[in-house]
Amino acid sequence: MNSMFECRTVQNQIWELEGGSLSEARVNEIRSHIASCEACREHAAAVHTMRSGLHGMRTQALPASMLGWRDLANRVENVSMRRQRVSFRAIGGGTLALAACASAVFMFINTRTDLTLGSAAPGAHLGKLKLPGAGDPFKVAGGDVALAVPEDERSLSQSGIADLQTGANFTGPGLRSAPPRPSLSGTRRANIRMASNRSQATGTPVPTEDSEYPDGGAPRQALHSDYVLQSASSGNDEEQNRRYVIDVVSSRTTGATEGTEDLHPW
Amino acid sequence: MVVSHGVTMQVAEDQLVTRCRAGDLDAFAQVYDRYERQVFRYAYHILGNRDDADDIKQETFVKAYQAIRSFRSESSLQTWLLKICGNLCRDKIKSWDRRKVTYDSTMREDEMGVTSPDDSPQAIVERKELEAVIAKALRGMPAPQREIIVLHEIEGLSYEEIAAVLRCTRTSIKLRLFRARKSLKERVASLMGARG
Repeated sequence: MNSMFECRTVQNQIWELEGGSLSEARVNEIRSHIASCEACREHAAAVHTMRSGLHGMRTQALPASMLGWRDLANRVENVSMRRQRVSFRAIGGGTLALAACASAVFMFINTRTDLTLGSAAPGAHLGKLKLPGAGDPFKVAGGDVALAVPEDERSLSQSGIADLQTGANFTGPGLRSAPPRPSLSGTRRANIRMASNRSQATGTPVPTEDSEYPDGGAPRQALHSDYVLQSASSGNDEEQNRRYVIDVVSSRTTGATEGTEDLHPW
Repeated sequence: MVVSHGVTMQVAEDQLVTRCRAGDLDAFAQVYDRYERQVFRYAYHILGNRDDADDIKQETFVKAYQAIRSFRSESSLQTWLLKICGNLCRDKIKSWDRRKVTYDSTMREDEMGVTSPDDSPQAIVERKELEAVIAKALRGMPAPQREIIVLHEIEGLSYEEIAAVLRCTRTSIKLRLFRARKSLKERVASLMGARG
């Protein structure tokens, strides 16, 4: 007497009988069950018939394919030629990318947070100076320079430019810039602190000047020393976290005379 | 492995793939010779007509040639080609569904079956009838079930190979195959009953 459960299990596994996925012991069990069970025998016969039919379809005479290698070869050759063109393009693109990387590295090397001014010729571009965000000092050591904010920086942050312009007005020994534009003058000036680097070096307190133009709005007297310009902008977080990159251009190599012509008029 | 196309030679699959990656068209011709029949048969059983199967076969090999550099030999070339072919067939069926094209197989009954010279005329007729019934039952099945039956029962792929082609687990394949077989059996029984 075969239970229904056993019949169902056997019928489920009949497909696997010829597949070799069952153990030999299980195959023998199933075969002996089939021999003694009429329903499972019928099921096995149906599966066998269906299976042989399906296997016959593997070798059946399919309709002839109309497209052969010759048709494919033409298409594949086109792909091959296109691939070559693409690789030439990729080489060109790679060269461009390399050049871009090289110029980025060059820019990085030339972008610094401190610059020592030597006896550069008037008008010489001394490099790029990275101005830190609020509270971070940057240093320009000695010499006459004009600070020029790049055009795109101007469009990016007016308050940052105001800081720069105002800061430039505080510098003494020829660290110059154009005077602040009228629209940017005023309260922004108070956000710039200036401290003598020399004072820092000697450990004395940094004399900061919450400068409301202590000299009555005129450019500060030349001090002939190194300076730390510190932006103390109270702008929003985005502005405070901004880093400015400015061009530093030599305007004079000796002395410090007020009223030097601006090299980069705003 | 025997490769025709004028020259019969033993070529290991990985060597063939390496040459194909280098853009060797002769090597790709050998790949084509080796697998085009299987790819065509698979597409034919899935799509049910020669013209579409032909197109899909060609498209499969063009795609394979384009992507041969990304073939990492994690599966066999056969499995990889069938995977591409299966994807293209599914896309085709989807496009039919979108355009409301009725699945109309042009598979003819007289195309079915290869007869042996030893077969009696009655045996030949019976086999042809059986294969015609099975083919009809297959065509009536949903495409995913038909696909799995074709891969396992006709193309003879193992569970692991089917899992690679259909990107699913072996367990899932076993379950799907079980359902597909059950469905096929019911359809065949129904068609046989209808024929009397």
